[in-house]
Amino acid sequence: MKAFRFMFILLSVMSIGLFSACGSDDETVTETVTETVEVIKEVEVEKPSTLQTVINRGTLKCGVNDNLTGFGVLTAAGTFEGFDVDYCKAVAAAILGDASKVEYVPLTASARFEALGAGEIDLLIRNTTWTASRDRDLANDFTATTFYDGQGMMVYADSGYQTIEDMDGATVCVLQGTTTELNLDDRFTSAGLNYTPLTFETNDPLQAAFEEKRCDGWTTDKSGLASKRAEFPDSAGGPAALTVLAETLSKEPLGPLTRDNDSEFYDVVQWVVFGLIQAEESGITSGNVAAMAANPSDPGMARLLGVPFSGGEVADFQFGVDPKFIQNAIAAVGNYGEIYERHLTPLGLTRSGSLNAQWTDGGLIYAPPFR
Amino acid sequence: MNSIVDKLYVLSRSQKFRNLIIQFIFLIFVGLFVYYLISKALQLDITLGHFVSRAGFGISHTFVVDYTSNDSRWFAYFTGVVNTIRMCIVGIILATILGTIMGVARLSKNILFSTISYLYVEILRNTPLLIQIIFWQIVFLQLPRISEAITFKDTVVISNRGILLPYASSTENGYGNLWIGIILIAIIASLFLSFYINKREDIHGKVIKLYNFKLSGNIIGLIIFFTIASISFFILQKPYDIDLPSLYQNDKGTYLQSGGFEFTPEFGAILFALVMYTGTFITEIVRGSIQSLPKGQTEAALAIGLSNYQTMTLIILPQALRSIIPPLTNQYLNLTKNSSLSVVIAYPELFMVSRTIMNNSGHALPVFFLILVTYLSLSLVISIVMNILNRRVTRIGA
Amino acid sequence: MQNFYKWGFETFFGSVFNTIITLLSLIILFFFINSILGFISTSEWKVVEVNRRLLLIGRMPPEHEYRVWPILWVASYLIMASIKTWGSPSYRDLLFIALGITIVCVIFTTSSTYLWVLTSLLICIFSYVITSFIGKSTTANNKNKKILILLWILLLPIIFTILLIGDGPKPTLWGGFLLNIILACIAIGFGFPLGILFAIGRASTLPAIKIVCTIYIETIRGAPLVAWLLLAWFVLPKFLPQFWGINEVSVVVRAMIILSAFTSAYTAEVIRGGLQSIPKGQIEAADSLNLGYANKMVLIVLPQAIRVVIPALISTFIGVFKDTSLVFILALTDLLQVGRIIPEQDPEFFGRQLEALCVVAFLFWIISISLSNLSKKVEKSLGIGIR
Repeated sequence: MKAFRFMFILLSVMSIGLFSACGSDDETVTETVTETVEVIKEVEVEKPSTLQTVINRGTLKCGVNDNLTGFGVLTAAGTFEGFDVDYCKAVAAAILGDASKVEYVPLTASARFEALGAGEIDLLIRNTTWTASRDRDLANDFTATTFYDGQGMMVYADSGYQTIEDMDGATVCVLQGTTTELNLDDRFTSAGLNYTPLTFETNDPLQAAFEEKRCDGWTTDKSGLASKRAEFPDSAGGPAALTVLAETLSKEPLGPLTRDNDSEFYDVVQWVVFGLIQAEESGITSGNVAAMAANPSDPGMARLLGVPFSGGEVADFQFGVDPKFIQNAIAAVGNYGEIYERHLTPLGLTRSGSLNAQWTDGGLIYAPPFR
Repeated sequence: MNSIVDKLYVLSRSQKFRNLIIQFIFLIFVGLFVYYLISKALQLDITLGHFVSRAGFGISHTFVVDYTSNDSRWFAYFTGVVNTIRMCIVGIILATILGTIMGVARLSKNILFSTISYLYVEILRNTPLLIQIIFWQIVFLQLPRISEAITFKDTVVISNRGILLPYASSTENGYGNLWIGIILIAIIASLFLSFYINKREDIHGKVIKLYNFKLSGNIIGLIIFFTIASISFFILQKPYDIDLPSLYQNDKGTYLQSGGFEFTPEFGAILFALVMYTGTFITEIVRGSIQSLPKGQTEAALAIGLSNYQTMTLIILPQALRSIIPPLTNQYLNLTKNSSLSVVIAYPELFMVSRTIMNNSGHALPVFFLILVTYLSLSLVISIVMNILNRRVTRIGA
Repeated sequence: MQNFYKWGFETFFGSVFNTIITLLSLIILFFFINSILGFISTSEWKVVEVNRRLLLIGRMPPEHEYRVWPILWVASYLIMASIKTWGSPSYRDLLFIALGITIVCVIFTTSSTYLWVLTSLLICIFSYVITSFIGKSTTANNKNKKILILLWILLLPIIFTILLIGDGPKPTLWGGFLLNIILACIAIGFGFPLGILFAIGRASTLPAIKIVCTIYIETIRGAPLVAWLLLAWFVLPKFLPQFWGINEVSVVVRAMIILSAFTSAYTAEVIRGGLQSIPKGQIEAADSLNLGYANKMVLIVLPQAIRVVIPALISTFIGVFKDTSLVFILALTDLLQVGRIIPEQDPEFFGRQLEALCVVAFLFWIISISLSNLSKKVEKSLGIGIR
């Protein structure tokens, strides 16, 4: 009996071995196995559009920053707050009707594009600059710009630097993995100036080095420089000890990103941003949006808020979401001006006179017509 | 029928046969798994083609290599690798020295000394390395600012931008490399010579004497080496010159340093952090090894009149070496891998450079595999060297 | 008194070498105490005060916060009972334990949580007292030990049940100190048995198994954990099979897989050292008794091997616990990551990173020092290290 049991086991083992060793020429066992599995699973599912995935899932996965004051920070209560975070909430309110249905993923600068490409997040709103290489090479799509920034250089007032040309041979502190690094290099090498970059991963060691004058200059987006300058400790001289050079090293338009070839979702996100801009232009705030929706003052406002105008039809532009999506977004986070006021004005970034004023005030914040 | 089954049964009782079958089954499963991995891997895009394009970013520490932002990404990566190797070699040497001293201190009779060693191990071993790196950076930033730098008569400059020491720089007369080659040959030759002379003295008792002064093999080797080095130096018209560091301001007021060997705060911070951290582990290893030796060794050594220092260096440490080397290899590998944390304070070693490249080019996968291969090779080199040492040390004795 | 001075002089200033060392040590000590005092006088702790919850449990939503307390109660009961059962602690040890617990509680208790913390403290004391009443009877002792061992094995499943039951918070929301501890427990819990298997495989006489195990161990040990974690995040999903949604498994689970693999490689190396130290006679005797491979390994070889390397093993586990802080690279908010980002929360916290990192270092230090003290006790009880 033992012998027969043993023989049976031996024969089955050998047959598996023979079967694997003598697989057909082109196919291997793995492929046979996966094919079988696919046959069982019937059809290779077509990747559904991100919009559909988000709606099915019920939450929006948003990639954000967790350590940039004003744009994305982790609060003591464990929630995220910031300019970019508010746009995540707006998109979630628009698509899912609820601004709290967001899953935030705090990403480092080096990991953000990979995370978007791999599907870890649906939407990346992490103070990311719109560049050609990122648009094409990295297979992303930039939706509307929410914040027009520029790269600046902050130096000590007593160093006497007026322009970048004065900084030949200087040491400059910069954050890793950003366009800032590349722009810095472009600017200095094209002007034939020598410089030494110190690339840090987070802001805190950088600030410590700058305070001790380890580097002569600190370069990052001017919005960041403004807030850092405002809070420069008095023990190191306070804000008066620093100046931000007038020159803007590069244009830094920041905005939300989606993946390539995903037009449905892309359009929704883009028009949510435009909707919030238009809301400010039309005077709609989170406070009065309900009243305006009940009684729109002109057809344009009615189309924007997704309500009928004096007995007409509700305009539905086939976005794939509830026609009231912009109204939901405004009700959740307010219009562009409110978002800006809430997060960026406390840092000392004034809108009037900057690029981020409405186009009616001479800035670049402009929404295409909603019709 | 029966006899075949019986034969098979007998065969199955044979250990060799069973071993073969087990290995066969095991290899089938492993083979399937590996094939699956490879077939999936081929579907991914793993080309390093984008590495030849212009790097476009600067690197702050370039040791031996001349890197500018116009060079290719391969060169940037290579600069990072050089930085890593530089830190690892210096770190390993210093950590070993520190660990040995502290390990011996732990067993010393001087209570103050052994308490310091105890506190050192307990505090630094249990704190994450990242925090220690940041701490050391802050310490180094406390050095005087560049506008108030301390200079010692033009030879040494100390500030929080770095400590500059005199260095040798080639005078560009083309013989620099030749002289380096001659030095290397001289080192090897004098090592062999001294080894041979020592052996001759040990085995045959023949001693070389100069005016009744006994010359050991080591001294002869040293003399030969210096003679060759200096003669060739002058014959080749001084290919290297002393490079004194200097600190000056350019016309816009920027402080510039030039010349000399630069020991930057970033390098210092990560070096000190790694050395201190790995040193704690080495301390424990050394202490454990020394404690595992029989007490009789120390007693016998003291009984024949050797001093404490002689006991330690001639009797205890050589024997302790046998059990120190395998865990020590482990710690060296850890040091090499922990160097990847230096992105926190702007020291551009290979992990940080590769992450910048990853971010600029967007293709993360091929860069991952490149990082893996590089670290594997570094670890392999260290393991092989330590294995050779291990075999040399354990070749005698049980 | 005279003798004391004489001894003191001899020890510290006996020889020139000694004198130099004493002076050096005094200078170093003075320097450190000075800088520490300087730091304490200029520090502002508001950044830590406000973020205590974030440090301990990360982004866990407030409505699920109540789940943390049962876990704390179970853990404190288990730890105190185990200390009493297997530890036989002296009064000095108990004093240190009490001191450590008090300091942590004082730092981290907020006004809203002090009732919960008080309950945990009471459970600690209660469990200790109850265990000391078990007395000398062997059957009661054995029963107690069996129950405790069972509870330890079930601890991880219990923690997961408590955290996930009834639509609990998603694992990516677990953060802070809690995340580090859970990851460390899983890494050690799975890595240790796997490590034993790989160690045995590497020491096996069958060349196929030996080579494959060696390749696995050397590959995993060859690259830094940061690189493996990044690989797990981006590369692993592409390699996992498409069905059953395995390739969309949560980041936390992927971190656990990689950490377990990493721990198993390091454990395998340590145990291999232990296996090499067993006298060959043991194995020969087991063979001569016809014990068979499995029995030989489990009954004779492994118990001796593991006994010998317990200090090195615990040292490896401490290292794994500290390495769990590297999961920040996977967008998980663990304790160290919280410490690094809280200074950016509010402009008034800019530049306060030393305070934040101090507290983080302290938390890591407490756990590591307890583990290393544990290893010293085990070392002593096993008689290793006596020349």
